[in-house]
Amino acid sequence: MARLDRDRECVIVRIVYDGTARSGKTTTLRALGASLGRQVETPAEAEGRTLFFDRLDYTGGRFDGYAIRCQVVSVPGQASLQRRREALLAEADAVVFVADTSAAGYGASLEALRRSLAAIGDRTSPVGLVVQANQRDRLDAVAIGRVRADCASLSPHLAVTESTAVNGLGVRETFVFAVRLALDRVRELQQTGRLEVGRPDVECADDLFVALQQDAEAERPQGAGTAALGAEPASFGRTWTSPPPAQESAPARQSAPWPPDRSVSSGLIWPPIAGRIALHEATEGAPVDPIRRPDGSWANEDEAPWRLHSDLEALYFDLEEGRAALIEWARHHAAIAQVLSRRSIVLARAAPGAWRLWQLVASIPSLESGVRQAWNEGTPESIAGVLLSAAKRSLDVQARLAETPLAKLGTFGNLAVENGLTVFSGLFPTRIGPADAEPFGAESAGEILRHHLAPILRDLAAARSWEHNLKIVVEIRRRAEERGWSGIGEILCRLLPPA
Amino acid sequence: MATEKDYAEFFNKVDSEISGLIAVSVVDLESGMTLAVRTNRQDFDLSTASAFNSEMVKMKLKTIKALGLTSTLEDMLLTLSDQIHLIRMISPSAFVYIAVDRAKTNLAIVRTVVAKNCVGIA
Repeated sequence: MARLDRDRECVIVRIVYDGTARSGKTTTLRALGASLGRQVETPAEAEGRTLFFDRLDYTGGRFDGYAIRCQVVSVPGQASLQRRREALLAEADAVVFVADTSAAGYGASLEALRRSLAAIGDRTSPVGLVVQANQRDRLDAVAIGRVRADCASLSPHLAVTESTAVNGLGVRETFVFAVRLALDRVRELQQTGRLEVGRPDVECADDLFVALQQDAEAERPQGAGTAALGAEPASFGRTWTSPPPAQESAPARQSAPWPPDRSVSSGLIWPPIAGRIALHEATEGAPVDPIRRPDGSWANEDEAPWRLHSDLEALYFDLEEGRAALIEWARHHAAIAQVLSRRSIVLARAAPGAWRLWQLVASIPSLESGVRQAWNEGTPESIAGVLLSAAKRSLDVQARLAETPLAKLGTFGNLAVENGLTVFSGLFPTRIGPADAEPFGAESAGEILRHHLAPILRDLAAARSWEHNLKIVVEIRRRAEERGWSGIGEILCRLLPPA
Repeated sequence: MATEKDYAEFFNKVDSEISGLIAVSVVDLESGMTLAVRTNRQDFDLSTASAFNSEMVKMKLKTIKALGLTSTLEDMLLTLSDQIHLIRMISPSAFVYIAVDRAKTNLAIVRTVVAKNCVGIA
């Protein structure tokens, strides 16, 4: 949908309000309209229910010298009007999902959210989604912590805001955040040469009404309309070089590190939209507060929910130089995208007279921490189960990493389980050399496990009696045979020294 | 994060402590969108003014970087023949924009009142 209209000097984006019937979409739009001083248009209603859409136009803000014209549209929530809803979602540049968080409506909202994610998930350019947890004034409202946890389990790329649309609370803040996500998408389309130029097909509520009616008459297959958005985004290449070193004796090197915050500009965060949402989550509440490490790098505490790191030399005094380094880092990440944690981002934060690159990664318990916890708290049976499972997961990821320039990246300390998948959730090494790309040898399974697991097991086994360790060995053999993983089981048993 | 109630309280205080308030807004720097507005003059296009001011703030921040200054931007003052406009950063991603009638107040009062009360919305 996003378009650059040079004649009228504006960039046009569409923000779509989605949600179940009676979740508060129309109320939200009316509250937003009242707040912005704009009239909401509703082409057809039946008993107070939206049949096509509610819509308001708002021109405000600036993007690269162009006015931002927002087409704000809400979908009909009724299940029977699913086709209209999907047609509107297909043209969204950002989606605000209005969730009914009252006890009665919460389950249906979560289910609808899952469907919305599926509907926008296959768009060729990512579309940001904000969950507006509505009806927070209800006495039976579900705790916001649970809403956040449920949303995180559906997708790591969801931002959550709170609202009480009936009195307008939280509505405008959510809208402004959605506009920022839409602008991130515009920037992404612009940089990949896919931002359409010219007047949009749909200029006003009448145009949209006619388009939806034609759509219904033609009975187009579901999902039609997304093809016009263009080809797949250009994939990052696999050119592997280290970031260019920063200038020596730079004055800003000794100054405050300027940690990431929400002011990071569009085009300086990767991935563009999911990264913005992750940044929003990471900077919720107390500001991240990095400290200087002995090697000169900046990082926050190990226990923090988000790990933050910036190397001593990740400082650039020229924007283009910084942007080039950011793209290089993004390439590193994109090369292992299939095993990368969805909450792993890189960004360039402006500092006085300079730009600093940061990595920001959600802290997820690693395979190593799982093994250590089981060892300290579990029975020989449960320890054997955790060890086998961790070893299998590690080998599976290693097989996928072998094709990338980071063959040796996945250690037990930086692999973790995210939404049931094994992912790399560690910090990237600042400099990537040829040794990182060398895959393990012919005896790869044994070599990998020996390389990554032997030091951990040596440490753990030493703390327990030989009888205990023997029980674990016996249990590993039994379970490995049951699962058809005898090879892995044998390697583990050989690595487990008696105390 | 500030709520609508915090913004309303801030606007109430500013309105009561500054004579000749024309309009005041809280603006998202990146997009130039207004997060909250209060206007006493309907002919004053606050959203357009806020949007263009966001570009001015971004340009000033770029200038600071280009000069290699280690300072942070606190506020910007614009003096018109009959109005004073003040922009005050309240966070790295948002600022307050206020326009007042120059004949009814002065810069010192505007800066003091805004600085004193914007803590609650930072």
